[in-house]
Amino acid sequence: MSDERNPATQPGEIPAGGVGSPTGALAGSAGSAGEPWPATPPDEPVLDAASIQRIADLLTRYPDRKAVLIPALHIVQRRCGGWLPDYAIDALSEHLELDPAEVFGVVTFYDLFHQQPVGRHRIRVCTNLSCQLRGSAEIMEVLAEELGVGEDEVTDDGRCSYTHFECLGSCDTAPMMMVNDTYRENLTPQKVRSLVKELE
Amino acid sequence: MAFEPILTRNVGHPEARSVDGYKKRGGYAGLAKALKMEPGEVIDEVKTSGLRGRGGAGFPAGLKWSFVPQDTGKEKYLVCNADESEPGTFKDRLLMEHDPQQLIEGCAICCYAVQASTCYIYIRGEYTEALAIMEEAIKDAYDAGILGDNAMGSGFRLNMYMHAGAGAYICGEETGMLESLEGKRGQPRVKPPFPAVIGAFGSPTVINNVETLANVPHIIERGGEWFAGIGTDERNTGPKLYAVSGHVERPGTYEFPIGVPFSELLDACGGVWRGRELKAYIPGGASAAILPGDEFYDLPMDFDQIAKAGSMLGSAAVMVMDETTCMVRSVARLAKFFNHESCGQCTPCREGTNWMELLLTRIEKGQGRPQDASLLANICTHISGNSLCALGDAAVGPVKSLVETYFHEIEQHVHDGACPYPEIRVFSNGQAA
Repeated sequence: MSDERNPATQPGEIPAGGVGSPTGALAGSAGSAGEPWPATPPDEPVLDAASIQRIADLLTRYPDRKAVLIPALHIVQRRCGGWLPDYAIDALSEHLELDPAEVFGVVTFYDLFHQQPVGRHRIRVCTNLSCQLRGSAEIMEVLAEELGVGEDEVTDDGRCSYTHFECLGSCDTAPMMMVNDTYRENLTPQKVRSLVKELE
Repeated sequence: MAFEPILTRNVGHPEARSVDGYKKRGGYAGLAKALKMEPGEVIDEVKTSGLRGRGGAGFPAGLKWSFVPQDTGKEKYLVCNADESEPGTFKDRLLMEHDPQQLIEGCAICCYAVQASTCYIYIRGEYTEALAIMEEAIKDAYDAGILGDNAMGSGFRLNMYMHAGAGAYICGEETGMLESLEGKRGQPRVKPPFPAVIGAFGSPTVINNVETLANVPHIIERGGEWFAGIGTDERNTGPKLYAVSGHVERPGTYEFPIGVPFSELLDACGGVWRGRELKAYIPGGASAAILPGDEFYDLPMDFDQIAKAGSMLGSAAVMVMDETTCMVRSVARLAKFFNHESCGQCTPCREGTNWMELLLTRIEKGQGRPQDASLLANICTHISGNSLCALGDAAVGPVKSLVETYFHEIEQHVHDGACPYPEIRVFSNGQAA
């Protein structure tokens, strides 16, 4: 075969932010969503009119209302600044008429749902084998050094938290990490340092 | 002779993400043709092609579709498995980000064949970019009349929705995925009943991987016979995406006729990086047994040949390891993964994966005991075949191959009281140096 294909790493084919909006109803909840909500209920409702409408739109897709639970948890987590305080889980359970125990059971099962506040910027470092083979352990060391906190801890100014993560499906650009919703690839210690400095 | 890419032909053509652009490049000819055929004829064509599932299990797709009962009076569903969580695998992300209409077309043809009017594409929650691209492409397909109440003017009704997961490897297991789709913890179900009979929302359901469905438009357009002519034999047909990572010069997704020899694939990736020697490779993702590089250098990478070699094609995630790689450290990382991802439902898997991680981590740290290797082998025996789903057996794959093939490395760690291999640092330019 001539000039071999390496399509996944061809630069410039996918716009940096993707097409469409990552804040759409179904987008993952990995994004920076501003300040995390407090552990005690604030004055504003967990489910505002916009969230209720988005959940209602999603409900039309399924024959059973429970099926909307995971997409709805993404919506609520994003609204609460990247985590799910207990009162938010209760509010959603009530709205969907589901047993809170059932909803808590779902929340605890999935890695993308958090029951502790996270940083305004959340970094997930892939450390699975393909990334390990290309130096992900060093990426974790650099983050610890730059941020001055341990894994899963939030910096004093609330700016960042980081964690190791299972395979993120970008093994051809290892080592890599996810900063909020964005994949940062072909990392080096220098690149990680400057990426961290850019986060506000 | 150069192989003309089939599945990745639109990579590098971002205009193909829209219905118009995709049609200009020949897209939607398969669906148009399928809608003029009888559903049963579509299934027969896929059977003729010999297409086997690309998600890992390799089950014949046409046969799977034919299991869907047509006389229950219930709604039927297609759930496209876009959970792609097998470590080392990134081919489905490529297909969704670069050619979303191809996947929509494949899903639509499958829906027509089994007469399902709803398709959910279950995508892992981390794939935010692929999700956004797919959402946009689906919207475009609705606007163009490909989807909706009257698909391509045929009178066939078809709705298609993206559904994002929330980070759980087990949701790639088909019944775990159905539970998750229904808003529950992703714990696999007891089978039978199989999803074809009782799947999503208690209804007959087909579950196919992204790459499997991406093949379907080409099969319908160009014929099952044509497809069956690609590959090694009648059990291993069609093009295949190989996701190559690890210690190669140019990691990436490579399309070849299924059964390409490993050596040719490695050459395509520019060989082992930094001029080093090949030590070993994993041919099919984290669940596959590790193969020593010298012994299996020319192994044809198809379902049957890899199985005969004692491993599996799986998701065709090829992880390459050079001569400096510590096999204990590598397998310890995979064991940590399986321990984290075990859903906890079956005791042998839940407890066994925990012990495997514990033992391998202590061996890697130089704290292993002489009996640890036999203890690992013993745990493997107790997990194998004793869990509801395939995760238990998957966890055993790499560990068993470590104990059988690289026993001497375990011994050396235990004897030296330390790992004899160097730490892995990032190369300063981030690429092979």
